[in-house]
Amino acid sequence: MTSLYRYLLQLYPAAYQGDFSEEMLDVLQEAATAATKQGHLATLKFHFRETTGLLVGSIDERLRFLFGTYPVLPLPWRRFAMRSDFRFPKAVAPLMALVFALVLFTIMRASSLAVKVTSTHIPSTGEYFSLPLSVGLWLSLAYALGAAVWLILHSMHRSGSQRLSDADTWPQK
Amino acid sequence: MEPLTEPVLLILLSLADQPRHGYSILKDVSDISDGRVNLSTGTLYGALRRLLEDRWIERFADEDSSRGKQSYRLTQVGHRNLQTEVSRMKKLTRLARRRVATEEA
Repeated sequence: MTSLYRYLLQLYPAAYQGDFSEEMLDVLQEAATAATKQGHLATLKFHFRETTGLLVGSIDERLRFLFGTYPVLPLPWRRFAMRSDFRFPKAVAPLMALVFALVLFTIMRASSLAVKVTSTHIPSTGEYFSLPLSVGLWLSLAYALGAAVWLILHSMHRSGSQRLSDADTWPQK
Repeated sequence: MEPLTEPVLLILLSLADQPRHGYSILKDVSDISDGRVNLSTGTLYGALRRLLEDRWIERFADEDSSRGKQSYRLTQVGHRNLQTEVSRMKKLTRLARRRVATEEA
């Protein structure tokens, strides 16, 4: 099991490994020896808990390494968070609903076009849209894309995540 | 300061009376919670790293230990925050007692 734990510890970011990897391995070995003395069931429980803990811990640290904050997902290890982290603002829910609706609409539209294409001849674009309509359609799409990007940036700004990550939580000694 | 979660509070309480190394913290947390909270090593070190980052605890090489293990102890900031949390819990307990007594009366 030591080699498995050693492998799992390699999933952590390099800086974290440098700081804690050897120490964690020592603790794991001590705890494994103690669990073995308590019988098979305790050993099984121990290995399950440790494997899960290392996997979850490595994901946690990777996400923190990537985003500079702790994960947003409501998973059990969030119980260990001690301070306000990044939270999605309310504007994200309607935005995601809009994106979902657009994806559904696109799929339905593509399906209907596919039926038409297979049942008749292959049409040219001009048969579907006149030039002004095509230009209008492209402009609308570009506008919608711009609005979506703006909404995302606005949401990120409103969340204050950048300000929180820059904040000095505790006064310097 | 936001209320501490139970595992973090237990880790801080474990370090309140004496410095400890990783495995000793694991055992002590299990003991003081009557076996209810069994931290995994990954979880313990995740919490320790955050506490180190926030300067609630500090790390030092324990020369008394046979293998010169890394040990952890509370900093002044950690002590102060732990006392604040304990005071908050005391107030909450007093309030709960009063309210429950009123209900029973």
